[in-house]
Amino acid sequence: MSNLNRRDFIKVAGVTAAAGAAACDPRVPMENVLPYVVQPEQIVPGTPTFFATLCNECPSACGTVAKVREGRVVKLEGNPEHPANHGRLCSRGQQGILGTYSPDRFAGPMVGGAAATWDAALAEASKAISEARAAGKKVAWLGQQRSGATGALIGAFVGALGGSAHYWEPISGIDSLRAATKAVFGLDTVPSYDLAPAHTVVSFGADFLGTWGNVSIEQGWADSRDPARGGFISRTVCVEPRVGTSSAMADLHLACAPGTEASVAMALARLVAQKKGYSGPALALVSGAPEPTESGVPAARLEEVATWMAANPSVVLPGGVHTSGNATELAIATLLLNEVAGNVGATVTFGQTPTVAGIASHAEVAALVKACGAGEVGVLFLDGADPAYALPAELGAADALGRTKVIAFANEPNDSLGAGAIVLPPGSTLETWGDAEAMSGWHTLQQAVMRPLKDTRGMGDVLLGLAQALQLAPAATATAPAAEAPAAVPTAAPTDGAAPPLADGVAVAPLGALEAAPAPAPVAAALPTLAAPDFATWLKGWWEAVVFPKTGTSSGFTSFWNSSLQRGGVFLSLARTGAAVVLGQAPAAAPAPASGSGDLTLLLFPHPFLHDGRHANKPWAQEVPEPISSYTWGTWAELHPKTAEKLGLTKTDAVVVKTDKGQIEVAWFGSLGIREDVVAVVMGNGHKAAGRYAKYGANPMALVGDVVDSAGALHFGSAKATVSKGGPTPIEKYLGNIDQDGRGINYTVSIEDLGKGYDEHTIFAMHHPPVDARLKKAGLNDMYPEPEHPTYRFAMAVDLNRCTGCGACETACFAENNTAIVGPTEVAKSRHMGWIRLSRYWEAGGETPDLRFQPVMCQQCSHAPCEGVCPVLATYHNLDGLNAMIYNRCVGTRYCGNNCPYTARRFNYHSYLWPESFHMMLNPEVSTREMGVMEKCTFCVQRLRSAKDSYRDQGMTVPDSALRKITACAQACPTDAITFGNANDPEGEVSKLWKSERAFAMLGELNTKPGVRYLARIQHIPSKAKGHGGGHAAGHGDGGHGDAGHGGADAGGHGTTH
Amino acid sequence: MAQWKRALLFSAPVFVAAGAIAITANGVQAQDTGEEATFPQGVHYLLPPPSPILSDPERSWGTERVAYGAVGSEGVLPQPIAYSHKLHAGTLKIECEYCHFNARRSSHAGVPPTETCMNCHANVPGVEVPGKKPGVTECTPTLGADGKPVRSTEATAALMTLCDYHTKGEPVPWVKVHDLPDFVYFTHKRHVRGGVACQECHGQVQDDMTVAYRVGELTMGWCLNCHEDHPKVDENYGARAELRRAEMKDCWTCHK
Repeated sequence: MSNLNRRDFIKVAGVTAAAGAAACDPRVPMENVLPYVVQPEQIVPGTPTFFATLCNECPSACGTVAKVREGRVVKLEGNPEHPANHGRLCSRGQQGILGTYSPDRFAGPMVGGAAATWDAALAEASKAISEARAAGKKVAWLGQQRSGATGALIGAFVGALGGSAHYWEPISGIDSLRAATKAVFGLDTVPSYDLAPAHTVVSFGADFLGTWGNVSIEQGWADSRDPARGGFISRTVCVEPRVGTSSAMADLHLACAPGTEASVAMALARLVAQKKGYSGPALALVSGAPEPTESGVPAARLEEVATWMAANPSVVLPGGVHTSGNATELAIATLLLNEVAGNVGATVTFGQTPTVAGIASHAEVAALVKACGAGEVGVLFLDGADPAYALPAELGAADALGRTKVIAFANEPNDSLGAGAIVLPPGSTLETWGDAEAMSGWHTLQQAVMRPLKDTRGMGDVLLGLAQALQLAPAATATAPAAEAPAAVPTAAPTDGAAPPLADGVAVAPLGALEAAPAPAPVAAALPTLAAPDFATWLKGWWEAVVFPKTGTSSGFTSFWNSSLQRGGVFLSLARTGAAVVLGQAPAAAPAPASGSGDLTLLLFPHPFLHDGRHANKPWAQEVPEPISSYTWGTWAELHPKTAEKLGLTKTDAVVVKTDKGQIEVAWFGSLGIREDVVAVVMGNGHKAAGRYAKYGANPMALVGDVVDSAGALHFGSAKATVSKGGPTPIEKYLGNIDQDGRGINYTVSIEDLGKGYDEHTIFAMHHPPVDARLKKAGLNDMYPEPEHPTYRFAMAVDLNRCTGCGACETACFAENNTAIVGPTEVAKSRHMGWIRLSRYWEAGGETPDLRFQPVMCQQCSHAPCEGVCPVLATYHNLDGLNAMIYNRCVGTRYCGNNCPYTARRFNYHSYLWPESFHMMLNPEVSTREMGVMEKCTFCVQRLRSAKDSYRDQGMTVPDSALRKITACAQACPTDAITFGNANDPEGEVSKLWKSERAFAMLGELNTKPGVRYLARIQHIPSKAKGHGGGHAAGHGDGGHGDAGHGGADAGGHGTTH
Repeated sequence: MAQWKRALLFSAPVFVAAGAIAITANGVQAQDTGEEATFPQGVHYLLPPPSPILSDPERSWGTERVAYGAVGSEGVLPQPIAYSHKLHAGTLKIECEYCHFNARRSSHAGVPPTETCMNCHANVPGVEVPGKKPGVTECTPTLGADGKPVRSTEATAALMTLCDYHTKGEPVPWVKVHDLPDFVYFTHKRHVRGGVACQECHGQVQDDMTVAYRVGELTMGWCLNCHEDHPKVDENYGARAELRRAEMKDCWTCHK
């Protein structure tokens, strides 16, 4: 073989391969094109239709708009008309679509683990209820929060059976807040919090930018931070033992000892009362508050916070899950603090408040489960609740449920559906009718926007059917107004329990304002009864009797109903008022110590995407990395790197967390912001029987006991724990480094430096791009000519001062761009396919952890390093300023990915496929990619092209107003941090933001001329910008750089994909 | 020459082996992750797939078509109903957009729903349509005074098929004549509104086609011919025609 050189071999091999290819014929299978028999009026093949409906993923009940292509929902976006979310939608809300298309959905009803017909299943259910009543046993309801007509039906049904509904939101903390509001103000409600006017936002463990809040809370916070909106920049103070999403954005993080939050709040209240000269009824309650010496919070810091709070409006938020040792006392303390700071009636209001009707405390749920175990409950209805997973393992909920007859409204399996359960799949939110009134006056309608995919029957229809089969007397619901006029017969009744066809929905476009002309209030219709033939009748009847009269509309119910469907509901603005303190005695704010053996205190915290675990079977929730740790697919424990060092942990070790109640083995993450005497474990994973994506991780509810506080709220942080080294880590991480390593990636700016006329080189100490001496001589800055952008230069501005790291943009990108779900094994190989990564860097050294989030998408550079190296011109710069990527041209050399300084490109190492049921969810406007192809953010070119197409019809270019929120990430962003536009348009929003003094190009010294500018986060810290000079020599950034602690947490590289 | 022989000798077994794997194992899955069920991955051939007839007994010439390039009238695909554009668009002069009514509004021109066919066929003699005439449960031929069908047997049979599909509520399973690859996003709307005649791509359907066949090649080069110098661009864009032509050659015009 010595004579054969490499070139000859390749020649021969090439010829052989070409001959092989030529032998293949160019024939492909024939495809059918199937027309409609009768084409529905609203369907134009190839063009989406939008319907307003409701998000049911958490109790906030935001409005959504479902994008429907040819009868299938392909994406969920926020409803711009809805006051709860103003057109934005959080990560969990967008994942609602995955529940509809889940591959693990029940095909139809199940009885005792076997498939059954609806008739058989309903007969079985009816028999179980009859037997329970005959035996004198209770019939109980445990489910997610329901309100509006849906809640009224559940109330009427369970009431007729002699029981009451338990609505259970395990991690919301609403039970303790409700008890506290009752104690302090004598009102059975919880207050509304308005963050936008607050100059100081103080949170005692409430993760208001994560799992405690919702889109409107996040929007309020971002507005309070934004000098362009309120004229001030708020301070955020977080008092909690670890760093969650909210503390990451805090200006001051006070890592108090676990359980001492209430005493800190009381002491702060005393200080604020002094400084403000408060003399109201709460003075006696707070004036005796002792110094919180055991909390570890410096007194000087409290003084400082009290000064801020006394000077300007503020808002104080109550505790979240991991502060619930004395959650009710803490909630009382925060309400008193709000009172003395003068916030009640201003930022803390009553009158228009979250609905609390039917909400059960943890103690009530635990009592119900114990009653099940004791055989006192004949039938237990489960509506989306999973007590076997979400209650402390100590309660033995799975066994207890086995001693009762469970009738579950569940579309997918969960841990609570034991062998004997009767499962009645109700269909997903998108397939069924319903409504919600999560905030008093905000009535949101849920319309069926697609046909059911499975053999399902809506919960309302089933309840009415059961009521009639059991001959339950028609019962009036609790909130009956004067009911004299006969009920109008609602039209469009669905038949046979199935959702009505798509044509019955009303398209939202164009979204017209509801005309609410003042008119005499119409005579209220009678409330519907359990004799209603189906749920649609009930829903319309209830709306006619309850909602319609509230609006004072004169135009008749039918037109009111149609316009409500079109808008997504009716949103009444109620008067917001204050309330008077009636509390007589100061709360016992003594710290609640954790019990048991161990040297660390165990805290549990909810996962931002999995919530309390209800979203665990949604692959986006698992695959989108958790913002702080960047972990995917599993459970981990947060430890301080120094604690980890003491334990001798390396980053590939798992840890065993052991309490008196049990132990779990999980991965660990070194958090610089957590106290050294605390271990925090994330909730949400470790299901036993909840579908294919939910089988990872461990359930930390095995570690905590059933310990409650004075109002019956669960004490999640009740146990002491021991942590020891386990086997190799079972969890997959996505991002490597938490340190910028001196690279100019994410800058912040001191509030003192604003308005001083600095440019990015002085304000951030950023390098100038290097300029070659010969170019300089020629008067040039660049070797390459500037590309031409005759019409558009599509561009983006990301305001890091508004970004909360919530992950909504990442999820929106998954939904819009058919991004592959690769699974934990592939993520571990750095093959994550998300087009946006939420990079987070941690600047160590300060008292408050300086954690910086930054969504990084393709920067669409004008001088793109990726373009020049592509041997086949699969990536190039187009006339709109976009860095195009043509999949069918790509041969997979990966040169572009290696040359991208932003690691924005993702390579398909395999053809990642979706389970077949997800195929219907894929965006038909975006190609799916296969093995060997590079892909990346396209600035949602399909959405840009569609906008250009619409405006070209009128001979126009796309105006700034239509571009501002056009990409999926900008559309979803709950805090409007992302703005899109045409940089060629000097009047455009994005051009203005690019000119901001806070604007910088990521790694600007590389002179790639990116199409994305970041606006640096504003920090309330002393200025470090000194102009040119010092910053260059010392490296970049204004925080301190890495210390030994980083290495303990993670020594991994920054690389993600390559 | 000896070295060529050796090269062949060396490379042949490699390709034979690879080919054998490709054929017998029906492709090689590159990696086994142990999570195939939850996170499925595609199967890929090491070599281009061999002739589909050899590899897959379920595929046959009867269910295949030539992927691209113009085909003549001999390349007519088997259709459930031998629908004649020549009759409808030519002789009867029905507008293209009467049936393909989304061509001006959407990316898909749309194949007419059966209801559109029945708009006329419920009223022209040839077949009795249930629903339109109460009591009729099956499609029956319209008989003339002589007791024979009023149309030719062939036409009556075609109408009976159409009517059957309509009665059953099933779509007519037309076979796609113009089938672009899935990574191409063609939009009828822009072309129709730009003034491109249907016939420029679809041929003189009103004159030539008793059953539709493909006249346009549907290759990228064929598309680019017009995107480079179609006279409508000058007409529609005037001074900006040069820019428009440049925009129209952007890959992202059709691929995304």
